[in-house]
Amino acid sequence: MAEWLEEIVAEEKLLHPGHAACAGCGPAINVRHVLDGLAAARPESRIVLVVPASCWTIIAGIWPVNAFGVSVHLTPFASAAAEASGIKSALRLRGQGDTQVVVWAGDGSTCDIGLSGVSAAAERDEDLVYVLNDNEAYMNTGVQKSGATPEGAWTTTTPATAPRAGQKKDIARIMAAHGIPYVATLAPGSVPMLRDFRAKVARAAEVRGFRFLHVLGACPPGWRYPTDQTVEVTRLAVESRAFPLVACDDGAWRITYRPKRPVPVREYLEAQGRFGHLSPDDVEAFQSHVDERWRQLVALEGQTSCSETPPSTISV
Amino acid sequence: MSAVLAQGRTVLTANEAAAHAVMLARARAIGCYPITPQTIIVERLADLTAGRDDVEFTNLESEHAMFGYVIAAARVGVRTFTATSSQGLLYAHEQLQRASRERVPLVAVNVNRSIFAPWSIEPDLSDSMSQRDTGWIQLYCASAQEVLDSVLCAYRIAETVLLPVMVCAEGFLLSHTSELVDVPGQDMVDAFLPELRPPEEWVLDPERPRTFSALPEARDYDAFQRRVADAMDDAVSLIEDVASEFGSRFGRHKAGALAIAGNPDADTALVTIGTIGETALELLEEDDDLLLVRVHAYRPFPAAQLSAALARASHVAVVDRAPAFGAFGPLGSDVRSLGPAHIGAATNVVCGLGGTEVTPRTLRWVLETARSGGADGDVAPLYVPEGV
Ligand SMILES: Cc1ncc(C[n+]2csc(CCOP(=O)(O)OP(=O)(O)O)c2C)c(N)n1
Ligand SMILES: [Mg+2]
Repeated sequence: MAEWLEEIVAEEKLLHPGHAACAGCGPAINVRHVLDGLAAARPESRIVLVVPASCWTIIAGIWPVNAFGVSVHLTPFASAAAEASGIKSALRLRGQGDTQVVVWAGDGSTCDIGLSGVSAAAERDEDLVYVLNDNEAYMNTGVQKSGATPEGAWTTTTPATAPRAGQKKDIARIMAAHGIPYVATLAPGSVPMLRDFRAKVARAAEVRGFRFLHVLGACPPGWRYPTDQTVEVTRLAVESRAFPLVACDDGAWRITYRPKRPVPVREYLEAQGRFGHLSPDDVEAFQSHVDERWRQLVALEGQTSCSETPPSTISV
Repeated sequence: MSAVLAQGRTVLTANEAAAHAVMLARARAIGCYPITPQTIIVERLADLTAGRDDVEFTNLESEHAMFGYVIAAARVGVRTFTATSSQGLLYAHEQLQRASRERVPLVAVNVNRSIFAPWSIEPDLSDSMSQRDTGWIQLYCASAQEVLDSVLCAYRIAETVLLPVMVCAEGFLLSHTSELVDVPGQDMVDAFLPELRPPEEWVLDPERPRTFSALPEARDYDAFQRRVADAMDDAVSLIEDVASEFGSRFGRHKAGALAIAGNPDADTALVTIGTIGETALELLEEDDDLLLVRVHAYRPFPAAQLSAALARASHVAVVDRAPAFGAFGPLGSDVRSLGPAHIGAATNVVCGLGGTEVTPRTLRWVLETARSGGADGDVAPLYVPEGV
């Protein structure tokens, strides 16, 4: 095993065993790597986690149990970004401004009800790490459509007979358009993807100002696949380019993981029950949207990147 | 460079008086969002705190966010301030409920304004009265001086019982009206208002990991709510104590729960809230059979003090400045809920909505109605006829 991987396996974990996530919960893997990655990158600073209403209201623990090794401030659905700003303000006033204040918010919170708050905190360039935990629906309330639900997907409010129309909101580009210092997409579907994931977390820890991490979190009950397939489904999301891994560092876009032989989107869709009703035409349309978005990212990279090499001192 | 505070006896509007009190109280994290007629408070605070690195002044994108911001800052142990009005207060409803249940010692000023629809920026009390059950202590003022003094007292009260306090002042009538105000010296305020020191286990400290407001078992949830209710009960006597301490330290009277004037043995009592109580004082010049009771602390509701004050009157009239749809007005129904029978049968009048003038003539009509049997047996409040 590579040395960096051994270190990651051995590190102290800030999400404790015994948390209340479902079997196979992708976000449970992700939050562990976000927190442990931030802690490893800045071992001298503490972390405060800000969590709006979501699955994580419950996973964080039934009072008085705390599933996390960090302080957790639970908020209403729409106000995580503003409250993280309040915590950061107050910590600065109390001489604890070095604390990493981290938001861990769902896609419903981030892309829908709390979007104005995320946008405002970004525009104020608050010194926060905002992590979008994207499981592509309102999962806590039982799988309802959000602005991050992919086209055609079944949810309980977009049934197979009237599937989701329109496209998944392109939140990474929306956030990058705010001119914030760092935006990245993350998904740990393989060892190289995990390496990319941890490098982005480390980069986020290094930068100051508003940092936005868009993390794909596969969800067995919501996406309808067996609980032991979380990593594989995540891998297919990236390999099919349905969820491209990119970063926008100081305005420069870069595709950070290029599938060598892209998998047809059909394989990603077929691995999940939520797309089971799609016709071959639907799948073709999905593929063409994925291809178009990839072309746009390649173009962005060409227009904004100065070099092909990663811009930082990342060492994982 | 930051603007400077006025000192000693000066002329201020209630909005300016509020901003002065907030600076004297050394609030450290201030959340800002504009709405008429409150905006001048946060504009003044922006000037007064500009360039200071011991104050965080933050422009939020909504009142929901703004209250979230100050709640979170307070959670870290910092004294905060924010102000709003009308639609802004309603927009923050979710956070208002949460602040009290989470025992956050906020102080906020609500400049009272009527609520949409239709649009109006003129004063009535619909906004804050509709939030009376959110667990906030509510203090309603009748002068710019009372706004300044109440904001200072509010911090003492909030930080002692760990509940949020809303200081209410009617828009324009107070917010934009200049009055003589005594601004106390910083030393006196510092002696009255010690630094915020919430219990250690309440404070979010990154060095001591824990989760705040995590999902509890049902009986624990129930116990938390009961503690909010207990804290509200504790506030009843605290409000009186803080007012009398304020009075002796600053050398001017400060109302506790009630401001009482007129003849304590009068046959007729008029219960008011806000600036209508100030207008009512004019009636005393012509009417010596009149007791005036202005409710300053509306939540916690001063039931015992009110029952005692109204014990000797045989006619009680209650004036509300907020509409009531399908029930008595907010203050009217609260007063009518008190025993004995003559208070339970109080005449309740709703007037002054959307900035409609309430004059001594209006109040004379209220008294005549009450004295001639009033609303005994009615199921809804009376509205003042046109032209009165
Ligand atoms: C104002 C408000 N509306 C609705 C809800 C109900 N609610 C709680 S969690 C949730 C879904 C959260 O979805 P998301 O942000 O994607 O997080 P996830 O549950 O998927 O982790 C909803 C709708 C709420 N708590 N507050
Ligand atoms: Mg979700």
